[in-house]
Amino acid sequence: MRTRPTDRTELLQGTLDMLILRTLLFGPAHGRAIAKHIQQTTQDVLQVEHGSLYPALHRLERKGWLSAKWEVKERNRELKYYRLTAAGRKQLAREESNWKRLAQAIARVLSPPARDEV
Amino acid sequence: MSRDEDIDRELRAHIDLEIEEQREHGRTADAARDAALRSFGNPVLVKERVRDLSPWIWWERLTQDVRYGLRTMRRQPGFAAVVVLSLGLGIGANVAIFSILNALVLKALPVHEPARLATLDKGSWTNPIWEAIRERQDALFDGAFAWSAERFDLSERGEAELVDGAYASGRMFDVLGVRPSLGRFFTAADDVRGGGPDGPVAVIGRGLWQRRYGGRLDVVGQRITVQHVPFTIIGVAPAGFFGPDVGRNTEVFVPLADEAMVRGKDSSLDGSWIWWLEIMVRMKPAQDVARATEALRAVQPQIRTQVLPTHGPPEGIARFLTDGLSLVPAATGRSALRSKYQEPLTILLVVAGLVLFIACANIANLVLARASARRHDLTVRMALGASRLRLARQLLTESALLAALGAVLGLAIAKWGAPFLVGQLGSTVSLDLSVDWRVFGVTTAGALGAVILFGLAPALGVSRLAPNEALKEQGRTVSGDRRIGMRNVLVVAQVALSVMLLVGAALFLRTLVSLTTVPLGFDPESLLIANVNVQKIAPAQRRVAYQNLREAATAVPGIASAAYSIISPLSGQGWNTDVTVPGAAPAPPKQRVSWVNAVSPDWFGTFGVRIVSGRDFGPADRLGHPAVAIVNEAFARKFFAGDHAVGREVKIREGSFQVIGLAADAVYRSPRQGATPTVYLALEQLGEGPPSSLSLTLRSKAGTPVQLSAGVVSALNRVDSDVAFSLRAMSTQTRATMAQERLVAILSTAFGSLALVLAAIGLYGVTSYSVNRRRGEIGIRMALGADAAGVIRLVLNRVGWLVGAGVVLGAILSFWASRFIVSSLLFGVEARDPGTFAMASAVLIVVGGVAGWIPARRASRIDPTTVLRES
Repeated sequence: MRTRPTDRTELLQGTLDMLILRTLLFGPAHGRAIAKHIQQTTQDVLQVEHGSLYPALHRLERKGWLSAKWEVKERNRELKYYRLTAAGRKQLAREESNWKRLAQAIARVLSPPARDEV
Repeated sequence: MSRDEDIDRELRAHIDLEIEEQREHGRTADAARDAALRSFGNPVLVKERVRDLSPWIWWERLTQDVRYGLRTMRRQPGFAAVVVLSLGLGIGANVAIFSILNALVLKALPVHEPARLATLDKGSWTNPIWEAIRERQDALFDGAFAWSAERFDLSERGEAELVDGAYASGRMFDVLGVRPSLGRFFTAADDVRGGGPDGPVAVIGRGLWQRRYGGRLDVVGQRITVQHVPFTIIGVAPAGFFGPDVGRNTEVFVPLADEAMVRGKDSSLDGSWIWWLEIMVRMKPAQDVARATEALRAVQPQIRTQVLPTHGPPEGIARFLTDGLSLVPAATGRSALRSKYQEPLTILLVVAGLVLFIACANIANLVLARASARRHDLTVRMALGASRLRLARQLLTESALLAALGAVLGLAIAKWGAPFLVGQLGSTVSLDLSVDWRVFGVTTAGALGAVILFGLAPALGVSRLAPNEALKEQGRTVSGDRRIGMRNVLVVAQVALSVMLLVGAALFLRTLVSLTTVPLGFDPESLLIANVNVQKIAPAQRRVAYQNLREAATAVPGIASAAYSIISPLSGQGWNTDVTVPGAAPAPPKQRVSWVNAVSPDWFGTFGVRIVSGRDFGPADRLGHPAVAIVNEAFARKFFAGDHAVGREVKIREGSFQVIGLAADAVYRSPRQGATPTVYLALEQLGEGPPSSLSLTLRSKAGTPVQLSAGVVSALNRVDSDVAFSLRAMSTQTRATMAQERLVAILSTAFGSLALVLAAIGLYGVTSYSVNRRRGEIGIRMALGADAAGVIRLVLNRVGWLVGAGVVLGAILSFWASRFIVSSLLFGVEARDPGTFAMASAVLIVVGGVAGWIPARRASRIDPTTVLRES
């Protein structure tokens, strides 16, 4: 078993999809770039397992939220680039609003409004 | 690019990118590669998980599992062969017996809306009763018909060509709703005495059409002789139609009214006391059996008045047709065999089911043993990322594959076995054994049950695999494996069921042996029977014809003597009467009955039945002389209380007779009934002159009489070309009376032996497996001074426990199951016969001992130094 630093958090079920969609909002990217981006943006708090990343990418592609294409863009290497589709954009919007509601709800439990700080 | 390649490429690109980056950070090529791979994790697993997303993944997996399963099978052909063969035998036995039971009891007649058919229950009916119902058939029902199942001789002359036939009333085909495959069927217009517009007509079955007429279209209009009377063929029945009798293949139908033409003065058409017809009705769509019965009973008084006999015993007339008529559902037709075979076949089906269960238990043992051997392989695959579910599914697929092969083999065995078994029911028995949805369902259920029994256990065992530990062990064993417990349970169950099946087999075998050793009172081995029919000869010349025939037969070299009788013993025919002895108090009605036979002089001599006192019939005992009779000892015991019989007088329905002789006991109808009271009358004294057919019994001087058949046939042919006859050996006829018992005995013995072999294999398997697992322990024991005998004792001790538990359980089970074996299936032995129980237990203890001793001996030869070096 690999040990994992304790300051890294496992992704909540379903949130990986949202993070991938969100990452691709900035433009097409390949798998590794997506993983790296999530990791760096969260300052290494969220570790993206490759065992989850690629199945997620393929699943999203299957659902029509992403499209994929082999392209030569960086380092003179042919890589598979994923980009957001129109349906994917809509899905991202849905998930973001869901997530916000969830986060607010949790926040209210963790820090009740009496103390008046979120 | 396939999806697989796509994923491969994508992952490879990812890792390459990582390596490149690592190298840019200044690592060496190898270090960079290691780091990249480490950070990526298990690419195979990632690939698997991506592939899992495919909607076709189950199919991919299935084909993969099947391919893998076939590969494993090819690698261990012995294991696969044992499994498929034992499953095939188990499933085959079940399917064969079920398909007979299905054909006999469950299958609907191949006619229009069979569910609306019903038969008149309880016995047969007279023609006057049928005619009274016929008048009312359309008011009461949607039609009705009557028929009588017969054996028809189609030969013109000489040796008989017998087929199943029937006299059937005109609307039979119409009421059944079948269509001819050629020509037309007869109708009510043809069913009139003296023949219809086309004269006497016959409808033949499709099989006969193919066999005898080569399927020619011009068969319609051709002549066919039925019982030596010419008929015109008017049509051919459709394929698959075998008439209303299940168990017979009726191939010649002639109108009921033509019976008078065939039998002449012996016709039963006007017989008020001759019960020979079966009656079937088609109920109206709105009727159920209760309503139809109600409708029939409403007119029963009218029918009774109409058909009440004017002659006969007064008490018989008073009771005539007073019991309420009732109809029973007849969607499955009528069958004389059903009551005789339904129960034995059901028992045999249960037995076959148990054999299948034992076979499955055996396979489960084998599979479990193999699963332990494959643990290493399985754990490696698990460590490489295969999920438990996946492995379990893989194992289950392998089991299902084996079961499917077993089912195919089983169907093939049943296809061959079922007709063989039907042949055992009787030489003329015919059943439609084609595979229908029920037979298919039973086969599938057998295979599925097998998979559940032997496939589930190892599949569940996967869930207990712990890769880390198994890998550490490197295939070495740990003690206290729980699956050993499971295997012991299976073996105990096998032994117990085997005891039960052996007890059953022994009971049925003893029944058959008791029956075959019943003293018949004569030696069937030297007797040949010719059924002689002189119908075509004018009544006045028949006496001479019979005489000439007998002389011709006696003159055949090798024939010692010949004699006539009305009834041939053990032929299934019977003639009984009520006996009163003048001067003695009359016995209660049911105990006055005696069998009757009418015989020619020297009949007793021919059969070898001793005349104990008095004399045999002689030439002087004919009409016009005092009416005489010979009684057997059973008769004398019953009606004369053992007093001297000779000189007494007996009154029977046929008249008053003076007893002139006392004969030794001989069996009349079946060995099961034993020697029954019988009164013999003189053939020459029967009032109406010689009947149209008699049974001529020939005794050979030495050896089997069958070799003399050809000589007898040509001798009888030479006498008169108008005589028809059929020959068979008395021993054949005797064996036929025990067909049911023989079938049950043969099958239960076969199944019992199979169970025994399987149990022995199971016991051997589980013992040698445990010996192998305990090699280390045994080696240590021996190193510490245990001797060979001690080791054998150690192993046999375990075997003893297993067998002992099995035998005790089996005896209890047999005791419980004995209540289902009705006494009518047994003869000369009790269902709870202690000797049989003891014998079955002893057989299993011996077989179990041998099965355990072989591995025990192997254990005792373990070389401690080798074993200790291994560990």
